[in-house]
Amino acid sequence: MLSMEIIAGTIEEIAGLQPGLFLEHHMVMAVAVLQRIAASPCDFDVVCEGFQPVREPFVLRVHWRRRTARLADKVVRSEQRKPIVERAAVALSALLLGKTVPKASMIVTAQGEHADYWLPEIERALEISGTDGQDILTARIRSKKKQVSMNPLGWSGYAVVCCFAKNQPTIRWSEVYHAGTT
Amino acid sequence: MPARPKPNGALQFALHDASKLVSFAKHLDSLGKPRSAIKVWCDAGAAEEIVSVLLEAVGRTAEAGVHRASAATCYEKGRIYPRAVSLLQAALAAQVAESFKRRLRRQLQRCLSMARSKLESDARRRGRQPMPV
Repeated sequence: MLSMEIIAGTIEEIAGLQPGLFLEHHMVMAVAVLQRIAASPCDFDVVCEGFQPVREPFVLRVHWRRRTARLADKVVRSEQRKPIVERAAVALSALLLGKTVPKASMIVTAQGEHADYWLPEIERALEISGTDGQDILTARIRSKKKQVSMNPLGWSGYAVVCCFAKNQPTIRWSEVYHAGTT
Repeated sequence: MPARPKPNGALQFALHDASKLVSFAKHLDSLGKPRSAIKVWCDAGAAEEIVSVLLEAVGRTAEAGVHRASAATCYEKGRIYPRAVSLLQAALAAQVAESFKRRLRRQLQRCLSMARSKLESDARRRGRQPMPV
Protein backbone atom coordinates (compact mmCIF):
# COMPACT_ATOMS: atom_id res chain seq x y z
CA MET A 1 0.00 0.00 0.00
CA LEU A 2 1.33 3.45 -0.96
CA SER A 3 1.72 5.92 1.88
CA MET A 4 -0.18 9.17 1.61
CA GLU A 5 1.49 12.51 0.94
CA ILE A 6 1.92 14.58 4.10
CA ILE A 7 1.56 18.35 4.00
CA ALA A 8 2.70 19.90 7.27
CA GLY A 9 2.34 23.33 8.78
CA THR A 10 1.99 25.18 12.05
CA ILE A 11 -1.34 26.77 12.84
CA GLU A 12 0.45 30.04 13.63
CA GLU A 13 1.46 30.26 9.94
CA ILE A 14 -2.08 31.15 8.87
CA ALA A 15 -1.67 34.85 9.68
CA GLY A 16 1.07 35.03 7.02
CA LEU A 17 -0.59 32.63 4.58
CA GLN A 18 -3.86 34.57 4.59
CA PRO A 19 -3.02 38.27 4.89
CA GLY A 20 -6.61 39.28 4.12
CA LEU A 21 -8.07 37.81 7.29
CA PHE A 22 -7.83 38.54 11.00
CA LEU A 23 -7.17 35.03 12.27
CA GLU A 24 -5.37 35.47 15.58
CA HIS A 25 -8.40 34.33 17.57
CA HIS A 26 -9.23 31.53 15.12
CA MET A 27 -5.82 29.91 15.52
CA VAL A 28 -6.23 29.81 19.29
CA MET A 29 -9.66 28.24 18.88
CA ALA A 30 -8.21 25.67 16.49
CA VAL A 31 -5.66 24.64 19.11
CA ALA A 32 -8.43 24.49 21.73
CA VAL A 33 -10.14 21.88 19.54
CA LEU A 34 -6.99 20.05 18.40
CA GLN A 35 -5.67 19.60 21.93
CA ARG A 36 -8.66 17.41 22.69
CA ILE A 37 -7.69 15.11 19.83
CA ALA A 38 -3.93 14.87 20.14
CA ALA A 39 -0.77 16.54 21.33
CA SER A 40 0.98 18.57 18.64
CA PRO A 41 1.10 17.54 15.80
CA CYS A 42 -2.39 16.36 14.83
CA ASP A 43 -2.93 14.53 11.53
CA PHE A 44 -6.05 15.10 9.45
CA ASP A 45 -6.99 12.78 6.60
CA VAL A 46 -7.93 15.10 3.75
CA VAL A 47 -10.45 13.50 1.40
CA CYS A 48 -10.74 15.36 -1.91
CA GLU A 49 -13.98 15.06 -3.87
CA GLY A 50 -15.10 16.30 -7.26
CA PHE A 51 -11.70 17.57 -8.39
CA GLN A 52 -10.92 17.59 -12.11
CA PRO A 53 -8.27 16.24 -12.52
CA VAL A 54 -8.61 13.89 -9.55
CA ARG A 55 -6.76 14.98 -6.43
CA GLU A 56 -5.43 12.15 -4.29
CA PRO A 57 -6.14 12.09 -0.54
CA PHE A 58 -3.36 13.37 1.67
CA VAL A 59 -2.56 14.07 5.30
CA LEU A 60 -2.56 17.60 6.73
CA ARG A 61 -0.21 17.55 9.71
CA VAL A 62 -0.94 20.49 12.00
CA HIS A 63 1.61 21.64 14.57
CA TRP A 64 1.14 24.35 17.18
CA ARG A 65 3.24 26.20 19.72
CA ARG A 66 3.08 25.96 23.48
CA ARG A 67 2.19 29.64 23.84
CA THR A 68 -0.89 29.16 21.64
CA ALA A 69 -1.81 26.08 23.68
CA ARG A 70 -1.77 28.14 26.87
CA LEU A 71 -4.09 30.74 25.29
CA ALA A 72 -6.33 27.92 24.07
CA ASP A 73 -6.83 26.66 27.62
CA LYS A 74 -8.34 30.04 28.52
CA VAL A 75 -10.60 30.05 25.43
CA VAL A 76 -12.07 26.66 26.34
CA ARG A 77 -13.12 28.03 29.69
CA SER A 78 -14.69 31.23 28.36
CA GLU A 79 -16.37 30.36 25.03
CA GLN A 80 -19.14 28.04 23.88
CA ARG A 81 -18.25 24.92 21.96
CA LYS A 82 -20.07 25.62 18.66
CA PRO A 83 -18.36 28.93 17.78
CA ILE A 84 -15.03 27.42 18.81
CA VAL A 85 -15.51 24.53 16.38
CA GLU A 86 -16.65 26.80 13.53
CA ARG A 87 -13.67 29.14 13.92
CA ALA A 88 -11.30 26.21 14.29
CA ALA A 89 -12.59 25.03 10.91
CA VAL A 90 -11.84 28.45 9.38
CA ALA A 91 -8.31 28.31 10.78
CA LEU A 92 -7.72 24.81 9.45
CA SER A 93 -9.12 25.73 6.04
CA ALA A 94 -6.83 28.77 5.96
CA LEU A 95 -3.88 26.46 6.55
CA LEU A 96 -5.08 23.84 4.06
CA LEU A 97 -5.66 26.36 1.27
CA GLY A 98 -2.55 28.38 2.10
CA LYS A 99 -0.43 25.25 1.72
CA THR A 100 -2.16 23.73 -1.32
CA VAL A 101 -3.42 26.76 -3.28
CA PRO A 102 -0.70 29.26 -2.35
CA LYS A 103 -1.46 31.78 -5.13
CA ALA A 104 -4.99 32.38 -3.90
CA SER A 105 -5.51 34.21 -0.64
CA MET A 106 -8.82 34.10 1.20
CA ILE A 107 -10.97 37.16 1.68
CA VAL A 108 -14.27 37.59 3.50
CA THR A 109 -17.29 39.76 2.76
CA ALA A 110 -20.12 40.60 5.13
CA GLN A 111 -23.59 39.43 4.18
CA GLY A 112 -26.25 39.82 6.83
CA GLU A 113 -25.27 37.57 9.72
CA HIS A 114 -23.17 35.40 7.42
CA ALA A 115 -19.55 35.63 6.33
CA ASP A 116 -18.90 34.74 2.72
CA TYR A 117 -15.38 33.58 1.90
CA TRP A 118 -13.81 33.97 -1.54
CA LEU A 119 -10.60 33.24 -3.43
CA PRO A 120 -10.78 36.09 -5.96
CA GLU A 121 -7.44 35.37 -7.68
CA ILE A 122 -8.78 32.04 -8.94
CA GLU A 123 -12.48 33.00 -9.01
CA ARG A 124 -13.62 30.52 -6.40
CA ALA A 125 -16.29 30.79 -3.74
CA LEU A 126 -15.59 29.06 -0.45
CA GLU A 127 -17.81 27.53 2.22
CA ILE A 128 -16.35 26.31 5.48
CA SER A 129 -17.84 24.39 8.36
CA GLY A 130 -16.74 22.36 11.35
CA THR A 131 -18.24 19.52 13.33
CA ASP A 132 -17.30 17.26 16.22
CA GLY A 133 -19.11 14.18 14.97
CA GLN A 134 -18.75 11.91 11.94
CA ASP A 135 -22.51 11.26 11.97
CA ILE A 136 -23.47 14.64 10.51
CA LEU A 137 -20.46 15.02 8.23
CA THR A 138 -22.17 13.82 5.04
CA ALA A 139 -25.22 16.04 5.56
CA ARG A 140 -23.00 19.02 6.34
CA ILE A 141 -20.86 18.58 3.22
CA ARG A 142 -24.00 18.30 1.10
CA SER A 143 -25.39 21.54 2.53
CA LYS A 144 -22.09 23.38 2.07
CA LYS A 145 -21.74 22.19 -1.53
CA LYS A 146 -25.23 23.50 -2.22
CA GLN A 147 -24.30 26.87 -0.75
CA VAL A 148 -21.19 27.04 -2.94
CA SER A 149 -23.24 26.24 -6.02
CA MET A 150 -25.63 29.10 -5.17
CA ASN A 151 -22.96 31.78 -4.72
CA PRO A 152 -24.04 35.17 -6.12
CA LEU A 153 -21.17 35.43 -8.62
CA GLY A 154 -21.85 32.08 -10.25
CA TRP A 155 -18.26 30.99 -9.60
CA SER A 156 -17.15 27.43 -9.01
CA GLY A 157 -15.79 26.87 -5.55
CA TYR A 158 -14.71 24.74 -2.64
CA ALA A 159 -16.63 23.32 0.31
CA VAL A 160 -14.38 22.46 3.24
CA VAL A 161 -15.83 20.59 6.21
CA CYS A 162 -13.53 19.76 9.12
CA CYS A 163 -14.49 16.90 11.40
CA PHE A 164 -12.79 17.03 14.78
CA ALA A 165 -13.72 13.48 15.83
CA LYS A 166 -11.21 12.16 18.37
CA ASN A 167 -10.76 8.78 16.68
CA GLN A 168 -10.60 10.02 13.08
CA PRO A 169 -9.97 13.72 12.41
CA THR A 170 -10.92 14.32 8.80
CA ILE A 171 -11.25 17.16 6.31
CA ARG A 172 -13.67 16.71 3.41
CA TRP A 173 -12.59 19.07 0.64
CA SER A 174 -14.96 19.24 -2.32
CA GLU A 175 -14.61 21.15 -5.54
CA VAL A 176 -17.99 22.30 -6.80
CA TYR A 177 -18.38 23.33 -10.41
CA HIS A 178 -20.98 25.93 -11.15
CA ALA A 179 -23.38 25.18 -13.97
CA GLY A 180 -21.83 26.44 -17.19
CA THR A 181 -18.22 25.78 -16.14
CA THR A 182 -16.20 22.61 -16.43
CA MET B 1 -14.21 33.13 -21.33
CA PRO B 2 -12.62 36.61 -21.53
CA ALA B 3 -9.09 36.94 -20.19
CA ARG B 4 -9.09 38.02 -16.57
CA PRO B 5 -7.20 41.28 -15.99
CA LYS B 6 -3.82 40.83 -14.30
CA PRO B 7 -3.83 41.23 -10.52
CA ASN B 8 -3.62 44.87 -9.67
CA GLY B 9 -1.47 45.76 -6.65
CA ALA B 10 -3.78 48.52 -5.40
CA LEU B 11 -6.81 46.29 -5.80
CA GLN B 12 -5.24 43.35 -3.98
CA PHE B 13 -4.13 45.60 -1.14
CA ALA B 14 -7.63 47.10 -0.89
CA LEU B 15 -9.24 43.63 -0.94
CA HIS B 16 -7.03 42.43 1.89
CA ASP B 17 -7.52 45.63 3.87
CA ALA B 18 -11.32 45.51 3.62
CA SER B 19 -11.47 41.79 4.33
CA LYS B 20 -9.25 42.12 7.38
CA LEU B 21 -11.45 44.90 8.75
CA VAL B 22 -14.60 42.81 8.17
CA SER B 23 -13.08 39.83 9.98
CA PHE B 24 -11.83 42.05 12.82
CA ALA B 25 -15.27 43.65 13.23
CA LYS B 26 -16.86 40.20 13.38
CA HIS B 27 -14.28 39.22 15.98
CA LEU B 28 -15.16 42.25 18.15
CA ASP B 29 -18.86 41.39 17.82
CA SER B 30 -18.13 37.86 18.96
CA LEU B 31 -16.26 39.20 21.98
CA GLY B 32 -19.33 41.24 22.94
CA LYS B 33 -17.65 44.63 22.38
CA PRO B 34 -20.34 46.43 20.37
CA ARG B 35 -18.99 49.96 20.83
CA SER B 36 -15.57 49.10 19.43
CA ALA B 37 -17.18 46.92 16.76
CA ILE B 38 -19.39 49.76 15.44
CA LYS B 39 -16.35 51.92 14.70
CA VAL B 40 -14.59 49.06 12.90
CA TRP B 41 -17.74 48.17 10.93
CA CYS B 42 -17.83 51.76 9.62
CA ASP B 43 -14.15 51.56 8.63
CA ALA B 44 -14.84 48.21 6.95
CA GLY B 45 -17.75 49.76 5.03
CA ALA B 46 -15.52 52.54 3.71
CA ALA B 47 -12.84 50.01 2.73
CA GLU B 48 -15.41 47.82 0.94
CA GLU B 49 -16.65 50.86 -1.00
CA ILE B 50 -13.10 51.51 -2.23
CA VAL B 51 -12.83 47.84 -3.29
CA SER B 52 -16.08 48.07 -5.25
CA VAL B 53 -14.87 51.17 -7.11
CA LEU B 54 -11.52 49.55 -7.96
CA LEU B 55 -13.26 46.38 -9.17
CA GLU B 56 -15.61 48.37 -11.34
CA ALA B 57 -12.67 50.25 -12.82
CA VAL B 58 -11.18 46.97 -14.09
CA GLY B 59 -14.51 45.71 -15.40
CA ARG B 60 -15.26 43.20 -12.63
CA THR B 61 -18.75 44.60 -12.13
CA ALA B 62 -20.44 41.58 -10.56
CA GLU B 63 -17.74 41.37 -7.88
CA ALA B 64 -18.13 45.12 -7.38
CA GLY B 65 -21.81 44.45 -6.65
CA VAL B 66 -20.97 41.83 -4.01
CA HIS B 67 -18.53 44.19 -2.30
CA ARG B 68 -21.10 47.03 -2.41
CA ALA B 69 -23.54 44.69 -0.68
CA SER B 70 -20.83 43.88 1.84
CA ALA B 71 -20.21 47.62 2.39
CA ALA B 72 -23.94 48.05 2.97
CA THR B 73 -23.93 45.29 5.59
CA CYS B 74 -20.94 46.91 7.29
CA TYR B 75 -22.70 50.29 7.41
CA GLU B 76 -25.89 48.65 8.66
CA LYS B 77 -23.90 47.12 11.51
CA GLY B 78 -22.24 50.52 12.02
CA ARG B 79 -25.77 52.05 12.19
CA ILE B 80 -25.20 54.35 9.18
CA TYR B 81 -28.48 53.30 7.57
CA PRO B 82 -28.83 55.94 4.81
CA ARG B 83 -25.41 54.95 3.41
CA ALA B 84 -26.42 51.28 3.57
CA VAL B 85 -29.59 52.07 1.62
CA SER B 86 -27.69 53.84 -1.18
CA LEU B 87 -25.20 50.99 -1.48
CA LEU B 88 -27.90 48.31 -1.52
CA GLN B 89 -29.69 50.16 -4.30
CA ALA B 90 -26.43 50.27 -6.27
CA ALA B 91 -25.70 46.58 -5.53
CA LEU B 92 -29.12 45.60 -6.85
CA ALA B 93 -28.14 47.00 -10.24
CA ALA B 94 -25.21 44.54 -10.53
CA GLN B 95 -25.32 41.26 -12.48
CA VAL B 96 -25.55 38.89 -9.52
CA ALA B 97 -27.72 35.84 -8.82
CA GLU B 98 -31.44 36.47 -8.34
CA SER B 99 -31.46 34.62 -4.98
CA PHE B 100 -28.80 37.08 -3.77
CA LYS B 101 -30.88 40.02 -5.00
CA ARG B 102 -33.87 38.71 -3.01
CA ARG B 103 -31.70 38.83 0.12
CA LEU B 104 -30.58 42.34 -0.76
CA ARG B 105 -34.18 43.52 -1.23
CA ARG B 106 -35.11 42.22 2.23
CA GLN B 107 -32.05 43.96 3.67
CA LEU B 108 -32.98 47.17 1.81
CA GLN B 109 -36.46 47.18 3.39
CA ARG B 110 -34.94 46.66 6.83
CA CYS B 111 -32.38 49.44 6.35
CA LEU B 112 -35.01 51.86 5.00
CA SER B 113 -37.14 51.25 8.04
CA MET B 114 -34.17 51.69 10.41
CA ALA B 115 -33.07 54.86 8.57
CA ARG B 116 -36.57 56.32 8.93
CA SER B 117 -36.89 55.56 12.63
CA LYS B 118 -33.38 56.85 13.36
CA LEU B 119 -34.05 60.11 11.48
CA GLU B 120 -37.33 60.53 13.36
CA SER B 121 -35.73 59.95 16.76
CA ASP B 122 -32.86 62.34 15.87
CA ALA B 123 -35.41 64.99 14.84
CA ARG B 124 -37.36 64.52 18.10
CA ARG B 125 -34.15 64.86 20.11
CA ARG B 126 -33.18 68.04 18.24
CA GLY B 127 -36.69 69.43 18.80
CA ARG B 128 -36.25 69.13 22.56
CA GLN B 129 -32.96 71.03 22.56
CA PRO B 130 -32.95 74.83 22.90
CA MET B 131 -32.14 76.74 19.69
CA PRO B 132 -28.53 77.95 19.58
CA VAL B 133 -28.28 81.71 20.18
